[in-house]
Amino acid sequence: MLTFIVRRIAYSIPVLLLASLLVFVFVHATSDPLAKYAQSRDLTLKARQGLAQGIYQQPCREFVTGSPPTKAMTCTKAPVLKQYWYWLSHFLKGKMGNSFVTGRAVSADLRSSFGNTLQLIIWGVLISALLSISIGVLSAVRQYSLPDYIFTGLSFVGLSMPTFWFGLIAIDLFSNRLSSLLHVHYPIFFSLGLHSSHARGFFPAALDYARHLALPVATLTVQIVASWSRYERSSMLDVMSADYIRTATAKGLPRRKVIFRHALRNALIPLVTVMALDIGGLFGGLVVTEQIFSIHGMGALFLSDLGNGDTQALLPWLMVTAVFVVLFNLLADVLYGVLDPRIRLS
Amino acid sequence: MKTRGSLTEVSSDQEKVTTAAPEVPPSEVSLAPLTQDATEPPARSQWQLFFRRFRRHRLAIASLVLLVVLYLVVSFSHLTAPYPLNPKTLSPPRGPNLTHLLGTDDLGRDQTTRMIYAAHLSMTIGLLVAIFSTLIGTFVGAVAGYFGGWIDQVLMRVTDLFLVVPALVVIAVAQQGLDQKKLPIFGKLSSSTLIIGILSILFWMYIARVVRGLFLSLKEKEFIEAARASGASSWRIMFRHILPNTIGPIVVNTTLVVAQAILLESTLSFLGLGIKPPAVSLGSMMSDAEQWVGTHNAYLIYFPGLLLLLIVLAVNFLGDGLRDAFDPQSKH
Amino acid sequence: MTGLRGRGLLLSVVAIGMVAVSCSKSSSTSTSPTTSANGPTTTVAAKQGGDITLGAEQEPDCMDWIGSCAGAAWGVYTVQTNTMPRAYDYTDSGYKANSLLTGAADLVTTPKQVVTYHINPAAVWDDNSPITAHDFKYTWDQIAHGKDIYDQSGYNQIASVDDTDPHTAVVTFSTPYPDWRALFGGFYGIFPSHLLEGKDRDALMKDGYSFSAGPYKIDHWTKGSEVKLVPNPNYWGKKSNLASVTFKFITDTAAEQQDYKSGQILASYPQAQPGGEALKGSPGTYFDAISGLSYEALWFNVEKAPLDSKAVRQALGFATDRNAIVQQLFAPIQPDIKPIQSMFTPAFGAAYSTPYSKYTLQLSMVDTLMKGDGWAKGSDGIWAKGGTKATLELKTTTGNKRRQLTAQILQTQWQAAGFGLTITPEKAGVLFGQDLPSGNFQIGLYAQTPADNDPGQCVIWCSKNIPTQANGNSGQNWDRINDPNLDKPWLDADTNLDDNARVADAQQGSTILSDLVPALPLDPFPDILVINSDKLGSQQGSFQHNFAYGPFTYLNYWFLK
Repeated sequence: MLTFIVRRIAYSIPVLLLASLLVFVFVHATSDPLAKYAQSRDLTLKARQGLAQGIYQQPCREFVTGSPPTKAMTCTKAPVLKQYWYWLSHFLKGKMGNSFVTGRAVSADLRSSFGNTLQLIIWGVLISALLSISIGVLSAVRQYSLPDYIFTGLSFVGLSMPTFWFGLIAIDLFSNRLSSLLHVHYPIFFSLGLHSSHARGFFPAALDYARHLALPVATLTVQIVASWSRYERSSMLDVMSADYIRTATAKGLPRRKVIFRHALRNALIPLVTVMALDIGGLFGGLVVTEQIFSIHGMGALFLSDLGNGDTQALLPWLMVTAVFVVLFNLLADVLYGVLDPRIRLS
Repeated sequence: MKTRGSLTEVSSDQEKVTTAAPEVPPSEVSLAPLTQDATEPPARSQWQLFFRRFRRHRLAIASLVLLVVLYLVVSFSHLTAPYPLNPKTLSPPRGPNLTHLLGTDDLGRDQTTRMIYAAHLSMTIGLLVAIFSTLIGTFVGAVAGYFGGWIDQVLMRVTDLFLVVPALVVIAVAQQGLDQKKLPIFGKLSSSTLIIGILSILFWMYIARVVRGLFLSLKEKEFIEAARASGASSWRIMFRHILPNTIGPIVVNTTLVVAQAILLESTLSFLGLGIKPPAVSLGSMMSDAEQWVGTHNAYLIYFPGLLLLLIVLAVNFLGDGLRDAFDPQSKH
Repeated sequence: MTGLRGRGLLLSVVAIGMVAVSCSKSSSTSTSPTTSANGPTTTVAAKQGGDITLGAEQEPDCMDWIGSCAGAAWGVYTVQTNTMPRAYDYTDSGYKANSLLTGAADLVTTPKQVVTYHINPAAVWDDNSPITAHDFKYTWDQIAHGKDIYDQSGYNQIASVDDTDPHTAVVTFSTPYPDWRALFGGFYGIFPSHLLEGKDRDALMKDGYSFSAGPYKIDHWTKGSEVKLVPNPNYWGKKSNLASVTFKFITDTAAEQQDYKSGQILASYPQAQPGGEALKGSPGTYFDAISGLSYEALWFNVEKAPLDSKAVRQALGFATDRNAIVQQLFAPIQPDIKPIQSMFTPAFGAAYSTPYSKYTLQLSMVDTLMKGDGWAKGSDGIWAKGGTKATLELKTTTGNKRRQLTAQILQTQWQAAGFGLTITPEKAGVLFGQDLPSGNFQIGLYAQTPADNDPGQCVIWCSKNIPTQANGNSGQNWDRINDPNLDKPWLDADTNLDDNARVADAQQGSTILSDLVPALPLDPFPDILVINSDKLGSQQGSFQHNFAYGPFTYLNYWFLK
């Protein structure tokens, strides 16, 4: 087992490095350092002066790890690979440097974004798991019943619906129309961040938190539940047609006991693996949800870094999210081996 | 998660099958369209069987009819669209009324017309991406699965790379980078061409992995051994003997690529990283209309979204029907 | 480094109504809070206390207002204007002395320009230590001699600051600097020497600072999320009614609008997009379209044929129905919007004149001018001369809905007048970083964003500022207009200390521009100010706005209903 884990980790390192190199070269070669001027707030005369002096001009960018980029930043035209090596050697020493555009410490931005995303993931996964298991078991136990058809249909809808659309509809209905329906002048559910800044005391703050979380968590949950409940349903069906379950039923064990004691436990194994795989992808995958609900998480951070063409900030982002994918992939494999004694990892 | 539907789930489980835990039988995942028990060479009776089974799947038939009709309607937009795409004068939005059945958008453009053009672009993108990625993916997957060796290694390593980085992120980086850029051979790409190219590059790998897995298991089968013994060339074995046995899973996966590509394109366009004006897609329509959420003009969000949902749902039902028809065992 | 946009009131019907109300209350309402303003302007009874949340569409990268983060418009709107003291305020009617001074500063012009500031003894920092002449000296020293300073102009022309009397700062200039009132204030402010001197100013300020000499001070700044302001108890002017003001950073305009509609934020200030405005006409909403100093224009490269011919440029002016463009873009938001008629906006006050008003859609003038220049219409209806067709290329930024529409409308209009037009959207980095400075364009469509309403515009119109080898390609006269008659007024406006003479220079320069047509002004694209007037009120009667410091300049007069 340990050898397996070590080998998997060792294997993922070159993959990560290659990914970072590709992203570095690509973003470096193609990003638009003046992207923020594409909209109306155009160049001031000062910015034009800076332009004319060449400070924004590609590929005039240098990796500055100590201080924010400013006018006085020297403009070296080092080869891309050299710059990449410069970045990598610092990164390996734990120095992520400062953002090109905002001048802030990349690690600080990552930390705060990660905290927000983690909250979404924890609540989203908890709720999704509960819902999917219930739906999956119900659908499998009552196969071809009306609820089964309804849930099957809903899961198709969930998988066929763009996340952003669901989010917008949720805001339209529950942030706006619900309030006017109830004739109140405040939103019942929020679509702005994770907290209000004025909630004081434990219970008001908890309620405030719940009202902020409800819609984004619902949005990210829909697709997850749609797919997880299908897994749970089919693995439940697989298990229930297995010989030992038939034997248990034939022995006269109560159906409830058979389902929950025997079938569900075994049917959870494949689901848990899939869950682990999916959760790994969520750390960098909540781009749309975070964007719509103005939550400053990893996805939103990615969008703004990308818009700014900020390689310095993008690369650590990429590494962090990729590490989570790799870790959770590994976790999925390990879980599989631990939960199912028939599988031996080698 | 948002870029993942059943297709990517298949791929990630395939990943598990091939790299991590070879002992796990792929049938663990019953949603998987991929089947590996197609062992017999194709016979006419099998296709008849397929059509008979497919015809029974009424939802899939209805979806197919709907998609064909819809695509015809939106393809002949010059006949079916009630108004020109870009009228000369602008006016504020007006809700659904008799002259504009689905209302007009914030520049006074007829919403029905825009949805026809947008659906055409969205569906075409889905279709083209599916065709390109299936053609490339099948070829590379077949070669990798049959011959193994360095092609196989490269394929597996490259796809590993893309499993590590979220698809949306890859595409966003690529789109942002290549947009409005003059490329060496292609020149400046329009936003739709660019998105088709990027999505194809992403999706062919999934198809390739599926096909590779199929070839890997089929090449050991007895009827292939027999063909090899009778002196057939490798290429002949691959494309005359093995490939026909993989048509089912490939077609099913192609359908799923259509659905995924449409969803991804709309998401990218919504984020402003996909289709850009003057082209219009369902995603970019919703991006433009985002500001009207919560007002009486929210229909500008609802209608394009519902059409998109309808299209993708129909494609998914079609895929489901095809899967059942190709592989009756997978149906519980 | 975001371009700082000043904003001014375009006299829309709404604005006129608003100004009328406020003027009847007091003439001092248009300045920033003053001690005397406590009297007549606070007639509206205000509830005390309450926490409010407002929307901010951009977040400042940091809060060092003279270094790496200077010029960030939203940094000024939200924090800088509410915390930093300044000697003079920008107002719609020119500069006004702030209550930091006991009155207008004394200006001596000969033999050298010397400005004497008399500091109000009541003016203190939030720790109750007085604001002194030494703070002026420290500020000058930091800006003029610091490294990585955003813009040193003006300060680098100061020879010395005499702080012997703590209540009197005497500033001596080495060369005349006409825009001296923008110094010790502007978008920089005055810095507390007793807290910062001898320390790393940038390090102490960039993550937010605790000192203040304005009505508010920073409570906390959660980067990426919000900045919260609380009242400065020792502010000498009008104190805040509200217990706290939180600005939430919502970079997505559409999301910000949704948050406003659902009552999660009580005010927002997004840029107007063409077409309808979702918040217009919402019940209980104060809505104002504000046009500021920025303006959109067509910029002609006068070195590129056929635009090297003045007649062709003028003909393009007569081929363009600018009124129709502006109406199509913004009429739903601001029904009475008009194109601007000079390379200034009305927010510049007296410097704004209307020489371009002669350019209206007149196809007969196009014919006369083009024929006079030797052009003839081909069978396709496009002008041609010596085998070359009058087909032009317009470059603009990609992904901007307004510009996309503008270009499309232009295409139609010019087609009718006999000009072909191709549209090339470019990334901002390519357009602003390469094409415009190097002259690789025929027509550019982009906005000009002056930092303040100073009438001197030599930097973009003088021949010495054409990018050349000689000036290290750093000139900003991207249109490459080169005319001695044009140089004269703009050069004078940069050195003359007489305000009236400078305004005359600007008007004369504008008139010459309208003849040479190196650029064709289009619209002063508006910003949208929406405030939830069901929940918020202002003791000034109606919500006041400052074109430079933004819509939250008078937050201390706001109250929760």
